[in-house]
Amino acid sequence: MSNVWQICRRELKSYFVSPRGYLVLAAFLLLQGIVFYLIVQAFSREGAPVGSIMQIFLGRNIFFWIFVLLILPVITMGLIAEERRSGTVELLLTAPVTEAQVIGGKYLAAYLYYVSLWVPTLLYPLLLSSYAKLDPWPIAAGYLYLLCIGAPFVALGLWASSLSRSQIVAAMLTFALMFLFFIIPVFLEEQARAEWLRNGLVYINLWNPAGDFGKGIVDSRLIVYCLTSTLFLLFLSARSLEIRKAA
Amino acid sequence: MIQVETLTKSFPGATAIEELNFSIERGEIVGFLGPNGAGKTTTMRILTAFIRPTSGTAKVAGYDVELHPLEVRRNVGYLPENVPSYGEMRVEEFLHYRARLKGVPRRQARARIEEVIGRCGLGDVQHRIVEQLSKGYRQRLGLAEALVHDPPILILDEPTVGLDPNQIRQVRSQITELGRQHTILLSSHVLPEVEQVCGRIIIINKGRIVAQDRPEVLRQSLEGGASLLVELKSPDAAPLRQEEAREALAGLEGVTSVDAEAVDGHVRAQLGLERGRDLREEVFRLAVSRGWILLELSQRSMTLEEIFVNLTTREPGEEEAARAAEEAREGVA
Repeated sequence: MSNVWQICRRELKSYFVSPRGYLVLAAFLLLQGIVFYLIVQAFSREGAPVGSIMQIFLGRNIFFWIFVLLILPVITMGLIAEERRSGTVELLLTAPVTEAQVIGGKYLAAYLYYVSLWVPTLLYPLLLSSYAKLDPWPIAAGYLYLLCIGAPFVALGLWASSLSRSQIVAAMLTFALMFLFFIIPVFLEEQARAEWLRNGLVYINLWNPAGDFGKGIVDSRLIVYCLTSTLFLLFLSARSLEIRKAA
Repeated sequence: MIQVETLTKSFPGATAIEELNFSIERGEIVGFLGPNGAGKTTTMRILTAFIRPTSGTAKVAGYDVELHPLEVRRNVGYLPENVPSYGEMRVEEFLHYRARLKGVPRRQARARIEEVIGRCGLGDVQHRIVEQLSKGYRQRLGLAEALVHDPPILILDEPTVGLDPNQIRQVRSQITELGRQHTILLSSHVLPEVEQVCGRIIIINKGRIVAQDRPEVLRQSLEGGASLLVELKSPDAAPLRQEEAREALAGLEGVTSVDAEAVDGHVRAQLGLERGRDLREEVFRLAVSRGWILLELSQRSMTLEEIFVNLTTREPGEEEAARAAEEAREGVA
């Protein structure tokens, strides 16, 4: 466990000692700020349901997805690829640590960084609450939704990063796969004729639960889906490190 | 401390090392010598459990590299070629991270780091960012990193590559110093370095071991005999003809090769001699009989460099023949 923590800590530091970490954070906040502003503006009429502002902000608008799909590859692209390019992977994997610990530490760091991107947005509901009375639970559920969907995406990015020594390739691959993850269920659900297929796709749809969570309905299907796909992707990442050893 | 048996590693389309056998005892400093691409780095990577062998076994500190990679790594300090490190970290911070990752308890980490910083002369730069370090300091940092968990075995891949002569001398004396407490395997293609530092040398070429022994013994057993440098001049103003000199010298019994060149009307020739032959007298007599003037006559034994070149540039067929000759010789002895 100590090893996981050491690796995680170094990785987190590397996010925050380089301008990259702050640049991503700043850009993300700027864009989110604009989106938040637009949503608030759309709702700033008499009798509008102020409570649903956060619901829309957290996952129920297309900008949310564009930003998440663009920013996540930037967070994860360097995790393994950069170690391989610079040769430090040779240091990392000649220290007494297992591949799983390396993956665990890296994942934890990237995930915490992803979470940290959202922390400043906690100010938004605070801001809103000075104008209207807000129910905190739907907002909490909305943030839970963010935590859920971030988990497999970060794992996906980590896996992509373990496949190449080029950060660009890793980023492109992550973006493409994330996009498919997101778009296929949404798109196919409308198209699918067979009922079993449609029912199956409901489970892996990431878009619809955003509405439920935003209303305060915590859908355990999403949590299970995100958790299992995360674990599976982490397993793949660890395997990818082990396979490199034999090659 | 290190036992390697029939170790083979092949990559798709190429075999990096083939059936290596060697072992290293506690306290030895062993040099791993070979041209680039001979398989030194591959072998070292297997010994640090960074990559897996295709077949064969390697044991480090009693642990099999495939079955107990973590135990192996705990016992090994490794300095990879090119000394990778995290550029954005500070020297001290980097060492702290590595120490903790290698299982040095938090309470001892401080003391260990101070010790390796002192030992490797990093005191002046301990608060600097790694990226800004000069090549020399970076190399020291790599060594400090390898030492930070006080491993019994050190594996150093080209520890002096890219350093200036002063720094090379420093590293060399440092390795000698370290050899008192650690078992060391170091690789190099700089020959004088291994010759001076190492108690034993393993020469590897194209993935195979071509020789291993103490440097003195290697020199004795492998040299095809001494060589003789001769410089001749004709007694009159007319320049000495190169062919004439070459023929005469080659006619001497015991000369295996003549490499002659004309310099300012003199002829300089390098004679390869048969094993154990001393032809200085004969060369002198030859010069006298032809009326030539002998400007220089010096004998020298082969340097390790020449042995190395000999061993690593031989054609496969020749190698076979050489091995057969060697065996025959041993049989007689």
